[in-house]
Amino acid sequence: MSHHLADLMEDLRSQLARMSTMVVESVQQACDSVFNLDVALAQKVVTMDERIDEEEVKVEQSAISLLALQQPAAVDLRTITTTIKVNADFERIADNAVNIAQRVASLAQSEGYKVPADLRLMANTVLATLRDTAKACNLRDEALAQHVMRSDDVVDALYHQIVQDMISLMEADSHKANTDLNNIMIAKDLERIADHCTNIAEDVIYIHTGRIIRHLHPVS
Amino acid sequence: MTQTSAPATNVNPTGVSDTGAKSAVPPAPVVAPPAARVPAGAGQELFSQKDVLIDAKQVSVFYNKHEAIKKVSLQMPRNRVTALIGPSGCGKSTFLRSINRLNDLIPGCRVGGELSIGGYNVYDPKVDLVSLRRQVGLVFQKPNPFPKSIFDNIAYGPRLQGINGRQRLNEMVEDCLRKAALWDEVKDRLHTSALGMSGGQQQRLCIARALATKPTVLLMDEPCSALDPIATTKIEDLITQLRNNYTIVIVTHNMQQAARVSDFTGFFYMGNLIEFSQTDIMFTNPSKKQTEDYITGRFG
Repeated sequence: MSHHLADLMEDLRSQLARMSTMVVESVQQACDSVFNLDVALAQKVVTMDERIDEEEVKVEQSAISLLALQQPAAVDLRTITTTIKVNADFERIADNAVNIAQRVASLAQSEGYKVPADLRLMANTVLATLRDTAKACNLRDEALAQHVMRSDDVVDALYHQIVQDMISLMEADSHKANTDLNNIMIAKDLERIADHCTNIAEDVIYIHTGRIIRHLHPVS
Repeated sequence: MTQTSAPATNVNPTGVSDTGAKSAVPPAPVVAPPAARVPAGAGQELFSQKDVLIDAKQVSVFYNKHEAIKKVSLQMPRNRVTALIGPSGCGKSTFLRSINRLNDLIPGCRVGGELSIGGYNVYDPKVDLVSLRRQVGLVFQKPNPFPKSIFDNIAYGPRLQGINGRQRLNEMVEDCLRKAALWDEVKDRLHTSALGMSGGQQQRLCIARALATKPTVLLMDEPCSALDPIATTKIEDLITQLRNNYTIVIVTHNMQQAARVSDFTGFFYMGNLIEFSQTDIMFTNPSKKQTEDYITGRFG
């Protein structure tokens, strides 16, 4: 590989790493804003999303430029095409974080709102998975990517549990339906974040193996 | 080489006197990286005017009656690599050779319009051609080292300029060979024949030789066409390194090479300049359909 291409590939990797760091921070802040009913922090998540959107466009432009100008092959080609997809997944995760943050204003108005234990557990689990995903992506860590894929089942189970709990609560007392529904929506966004992490993990594995493992069940 | 009839003491447009004294043109400032991508199109400024080094205004080149270059206007910025691409016979090599007036050697060739480097018209009758070609080096498609030692190939130009001190020449030769990424490979055989080197090494020697006269501009006419892929990669890496200190214009029929190494690209067709833009725009979203057809292989 020419030194020039090596440098450009490294630049692209750093750009994507910066992007994923911003997204992890956004999701962390969104969860914190729910835990603490912090309306100001929630607003910060919404404004930061603009910067994330700009960064997403820049990463995509860099990747396309590399494809056009450097004729990459094999692992370089897989890395660049994967970067474009992973970049889009990270941006969708940031959108999910915005959705979560946008619930806080409504929740803050409900008297004596407490975050359900399962929802808190789900949020922390998803945050850990997201951090692992960003790390797996940045370091091209195939083993860590496999680990991320395995954790999706745990998150799905938590999601279904929360939905069940909220349905029971709504059936018992419809006056609190607004709060219960917000909890379900937050859980839904967390579940979507976890799905995006799985997609990213599958793409990291593709870089190494050249095998597209989407839609294959169970995880091998 | 043809000489003008002007006396040697005339200042040539590139500011270097015959004794090889340091150029009166101030050292080229480093150009800031290209600004945020803007679509190439009429009126869009690709770089500021103060960064322009080579300025062609309505340049035409005739071989007898045949107009090989048709009123081409084009600006090339300093300390950047500009590539000229186009199908065979489009005039890109003719245009390149106009920059250091090598076309003067071709009988029946004449140039119209104005071509200036650093603000000075190189076709001004007072121009000292020897100094011009010292300041504007040219590397050809087929490596053409002199049938001399590696050392003497590089020392040739400086010796002609009157530099004879052993130590000074040693330093210059080492400096040039390092700049051409060749030093480590040849340092233990500097006094062996240059013709004993591989094609890729010979071409890097030709680049080192061009650098020995401390040029401002390096012109390269298909420098890798005669080389294997690994030698080509080494030359391309070298071009990428050299661009910080030299203004480079490269003609290539290999548009992927233009994509890899250049900052700006000009697309020529049948003597006309069809489009000139930042290389990444040229290869992702050119403004002219003709350019896109060429780049995507639909014609040419």
